[in-house]
Amino acid sequence: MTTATDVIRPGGGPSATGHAEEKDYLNVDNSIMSWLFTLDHKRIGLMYLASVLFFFFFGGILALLIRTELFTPGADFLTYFVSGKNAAELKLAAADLYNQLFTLHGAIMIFLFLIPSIPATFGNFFLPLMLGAKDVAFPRLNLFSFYIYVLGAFFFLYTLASGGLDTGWTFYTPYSTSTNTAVIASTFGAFILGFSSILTGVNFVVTVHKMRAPRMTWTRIPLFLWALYSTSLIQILATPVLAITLLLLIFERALGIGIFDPAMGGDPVLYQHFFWFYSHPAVYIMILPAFGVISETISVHSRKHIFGYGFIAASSVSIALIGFLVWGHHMFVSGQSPLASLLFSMITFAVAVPTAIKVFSWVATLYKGSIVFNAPMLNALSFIFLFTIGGLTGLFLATLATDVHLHDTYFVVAHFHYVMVGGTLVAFLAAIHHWWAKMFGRHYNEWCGRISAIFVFIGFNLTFFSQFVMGSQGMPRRYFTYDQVSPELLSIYTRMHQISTVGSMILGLALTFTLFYLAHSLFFGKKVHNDSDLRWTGESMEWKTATPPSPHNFHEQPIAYNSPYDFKEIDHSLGGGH
Amino acid sequence: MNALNHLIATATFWMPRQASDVAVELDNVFYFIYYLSVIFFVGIIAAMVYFSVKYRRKSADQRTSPLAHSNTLELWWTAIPTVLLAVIFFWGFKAWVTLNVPPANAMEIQVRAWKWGWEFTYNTPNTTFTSPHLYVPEKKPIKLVMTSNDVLHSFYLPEFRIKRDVLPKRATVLWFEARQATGTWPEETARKQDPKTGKWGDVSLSKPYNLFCAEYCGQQHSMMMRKVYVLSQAHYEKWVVEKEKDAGSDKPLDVLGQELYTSKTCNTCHSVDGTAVLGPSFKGRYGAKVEFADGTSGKMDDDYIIESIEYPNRKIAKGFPAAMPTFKGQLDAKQLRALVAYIQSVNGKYNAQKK
Repeated sequence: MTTATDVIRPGGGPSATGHAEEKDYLNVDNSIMSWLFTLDHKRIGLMYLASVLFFFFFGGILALLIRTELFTPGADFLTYFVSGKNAAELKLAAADLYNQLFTLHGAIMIFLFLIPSIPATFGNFFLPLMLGAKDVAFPRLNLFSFYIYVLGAFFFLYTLASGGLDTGWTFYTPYSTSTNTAVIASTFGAFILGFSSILTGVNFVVTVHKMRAPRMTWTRIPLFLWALYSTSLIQILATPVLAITLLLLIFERALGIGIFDPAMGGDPVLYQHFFWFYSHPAVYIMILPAFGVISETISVHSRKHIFGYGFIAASSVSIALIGFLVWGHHMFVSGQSPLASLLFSMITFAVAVPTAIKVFSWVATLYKGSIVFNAPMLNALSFIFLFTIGGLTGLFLATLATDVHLHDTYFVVAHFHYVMVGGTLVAFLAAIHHWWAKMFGRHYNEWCGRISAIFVFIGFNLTFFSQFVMGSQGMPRRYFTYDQVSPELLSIYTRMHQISTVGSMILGLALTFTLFYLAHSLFFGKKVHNDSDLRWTGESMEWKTATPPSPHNFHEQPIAYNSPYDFKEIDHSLGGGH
Repeated sequence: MNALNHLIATATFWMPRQASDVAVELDNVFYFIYYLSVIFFVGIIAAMVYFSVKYRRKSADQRTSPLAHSNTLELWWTAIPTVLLAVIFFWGFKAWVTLNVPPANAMEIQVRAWKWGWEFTYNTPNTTFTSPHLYVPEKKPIKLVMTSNDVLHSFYLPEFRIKRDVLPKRATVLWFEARQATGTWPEETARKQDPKTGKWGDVSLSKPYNLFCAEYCGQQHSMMMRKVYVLSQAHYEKWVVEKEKDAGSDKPLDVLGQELYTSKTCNTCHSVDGTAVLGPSFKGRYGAKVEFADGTSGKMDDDYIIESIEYPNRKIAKGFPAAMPTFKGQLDAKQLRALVAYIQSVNGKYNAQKK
């Protein structure tokens, strides 16, 4: 254990002779061109970070507009943003605006934030570092992936300028073939983004296979990398199906070839099969990296070896593989055959088991640890709380009978926000705090971090728990108004929508606050001069480089003598299963 | 009224009223999963909080346990959830079979959905009639055969716990049995004082259920709502007789047209007061010249109206989107004439004697 630390003492600390500090990856070259054409995985990771944060806040503002409109049952808030000659015209124009808002919110959050979020930012930054490699296997391909992402994002922004998109992020046919909005531009954008995803996946898989440090066996790979590896497999195998589906959709719209539209002899349910064949595995693209982040933060901040390493690593891969066989659970009421629904329900329950094992293992890791309540740890504990609710409510939707009632209601909206926001976003926050000082060589304010974690938790639960209640009470999703329902349901829906809207404001403020203190720390945060200034370190290799890392990561090839979870606080004399 | 209050009382914090037998079965599955989830959630979070507090870092060099796995523990926490999940799956499957197999004696009602409305067609031994709302007798299995004119919709009755997508060019089937009548025909009303204004007004004693469209279908998706009235057998028969009379009656064409104007939801896009909504208004255009989107023009006459109802995208009025679904095959010759008559009457050009 000590050997590893001693051998890999990079040039980050002040040199013994007191010479000028060595340049790190941030200040090695400050020109704009050195950023735009960088092949350094760390800089590419930061460019992704800036981009996904921009789109996250953009999508978040759209969400707040939606929530504000739903505060009252009728059409009101959005009518101030549209024009019309009378109340009826205003209402319908506002309805169109609402439909564009929820479509863009969903499409931006999924394609531009959630899918690239953790893999493209922290994955890019830390995958080579944690493997003890000097970069990813194909650095040029990595930069190319980033520019493909930017190009795809431009197509999405174009849909805004060209009068919006109102199909929902799912582009269900035949509505998407008949609407007048910018379907082709946005599906083409998603098509392009898919290539970015595939190329990043290929890059990661090759890097993990070929560039591990000496002695880093498959059982010494940090769990974050097992998660990224499983994610990459899905990206490579599933994304082409989405690409083909979106191309077929474009052909149908542009050339009038009947594939999905029954008016032209197509089958709309076929579209749903194609779409969910990608989009269900895509859910695991979004959540598996979050699992990896939680495994790292929980063990580092409780100074304990992760519990059940083998089970957690195996569960990531098995979730990735079984995840390919459950897409039909989005379609229990779509008119697909009841027998198909039966099989999809059964396989869906099979995914629940490895997921449950992960949660149990994280909690068991805390046992007899040395737990510190800093920002990354509070976010990780918050993740366990929220993701457990997200996971358990999935059972109601996997069950055939109850899904019939809950499908396409706010129960589903609440469920996937608990997984995607309570899960992925909170894990993203855990990651950003966990690695912040390592990445930038500056400390954020720990109290600000704790306050942010607590308010995100409160705001989030207010926003989305109320949506479970209104959903099981029948409130359908994608509704602009709900003033026509019967009085007893109206009073429930109104109360729950109001709690949700207030919660979303708290969540929005908490996240804005987070952005501010993190940005502030980049310029005014306490500087990290050497590793002893870090508030915490781990045993995996990203902690064995300078802070911030040097442009080529390591001065000497690090060697993996030990498990990445072998902390020096662990008292081996206590005994315990090994 | 006691029965009514009882039915409303079946609503809980999580679930709305139970209007059908299957709702009871489904709620049992729901609450089984719910209590199981609560037990697991409380257990997980209690352990997490307990460990976090008990093993919080008290000194910087606090020693930790080398425990890294336990085969026994891992085996148990794999096996127990697997068994419980299997129980949930099978119970959900059992209720699913009930939901999917309509009894042979079920009464059939045809359902048609379009952007943005619903229509229910009843075939009685005497005639066929339609209704914009769903009226059903209590304690009788009802089978719905559903299809859509345009895009996907989804037929959702939250109080009955049933839902199924409605597809164009394809029939999907759904069935239910209403537990107890909550409405009367004709609707009974009671005098009730408004607590705010102090005024006395009539309120309906019927407690109709909600029909929602649950599959996103565009602009007026959230306004695509109708009511479901559950009537006693006697009241239902009264309603059927009334509707049969209506269907066979020789009411004036423009009155029939006015009824179709709302029941076929023309009114959601076409006003009769001259204001443009999603489509042009019916008022002020009859007999006038219409500019088309392709640059040509024509006169708004009877032929143009009928052509536009059947083939809405052939001649689109300039400045309006091609948003209208076709109604071809859903209106017979008389109904088409009635709509023309109504448009004429809106413009003060209807002459009842002439027809």
